Amino acid sequence: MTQIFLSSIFLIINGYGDPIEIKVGFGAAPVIDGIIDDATGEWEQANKQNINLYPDITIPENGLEIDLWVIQEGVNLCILVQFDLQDHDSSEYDNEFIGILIADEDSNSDFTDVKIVQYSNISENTFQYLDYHINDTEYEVDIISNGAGAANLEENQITYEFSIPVKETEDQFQDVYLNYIRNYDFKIVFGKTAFYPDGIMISNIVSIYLEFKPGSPDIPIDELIMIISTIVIFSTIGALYIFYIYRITQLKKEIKRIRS
Amino acid sequence: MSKINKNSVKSQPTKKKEKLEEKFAYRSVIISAIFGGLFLIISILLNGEIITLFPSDNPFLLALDITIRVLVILIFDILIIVSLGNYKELTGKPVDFKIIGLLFFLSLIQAFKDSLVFSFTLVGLLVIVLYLYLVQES
Repeated sequence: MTQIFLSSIFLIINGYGDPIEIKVGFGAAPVIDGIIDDATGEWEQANKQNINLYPDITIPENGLEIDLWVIQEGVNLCILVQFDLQDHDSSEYDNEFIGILIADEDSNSDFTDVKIVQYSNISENTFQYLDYHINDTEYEVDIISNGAGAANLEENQITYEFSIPVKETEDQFQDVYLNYIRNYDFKIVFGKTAFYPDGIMISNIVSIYLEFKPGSPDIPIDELIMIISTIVIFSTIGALYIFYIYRITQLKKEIKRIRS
Repeated sequence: MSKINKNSVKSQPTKKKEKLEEKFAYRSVIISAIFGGLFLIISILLNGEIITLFPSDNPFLLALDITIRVLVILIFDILIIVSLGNYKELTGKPVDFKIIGLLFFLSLIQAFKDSLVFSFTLVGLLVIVLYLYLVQES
């Protein structure tokens, strides 16, 4: 934790509790193994951010600087978290974890879905991917685990990779159903003990806007129908109103014709 | 014996009154139509969701937003009915139920994007039609 405090000297302030906004684009699918394969250009097209995780998001101090990369591929949202810590392979970090808490759209950061990569022995690179949901404040294991996660420690640098399904979840009750052209709040959390939420030491919130699939129309079909209907309906009413105004301009002539 | 025709003396104020009524009705057709048009523009902006009055989840503001959107449609409907009624009177034809029905539909369809606005507008329009029916009956 000493290092987290030290890094606060160089912190980059990303807001006082306001989510950092990220607009993601599509790119090639990364292999979720905790390794960035430069030879294949993995994560090359990702949206790359440098943010800090704080003990208290509203007070941006004592932060841990992390690289946050986000990319969409096919029907998945892929998130990479990378950071350095001194003596990272020591037993202090044996139960280190990175979690991604997801809030439903328009829920004002009410996080209900959790994806975690939890280490059980960092020096042996032993970890597991966990899919939880938050019931009140309790973290409960999902009946169906969706998505994937992996991590890899290289010297002091650790890389966590996540893949979260978009519009393809098999568990709409315990997972947040991610959809295109919408914003979702994601809370990135870090801890050193496998207790949730008590083990969460630092965190930050990012708001991710999910793009629509390439090749598909920019607007989903239901919204397109709504827009067309709105234009047709109000144009028709407007046209009828203009016709009525025209008839009013002809009214005096019509009265004269009737009287004569 | 008076040389002035009694009938012509009687008919002159009546004619004047008729002319005044006609003028009033004509002005009413125009003014009501213009104001109806203004409310139609406001309705397009609000009910077409081009602008949002209160971008908030506050229940009070949401209720206020719905109320304004419903009232805008109902006022549009009333103004156009008044304008049409006077128009028809000037042309010597009655306002038939076909026109009332068409206006009812054109007013209601403006609320198609929001089920709550639609429901309240439907109730409001039914009240207006019922009121017009009862007034006509009496």
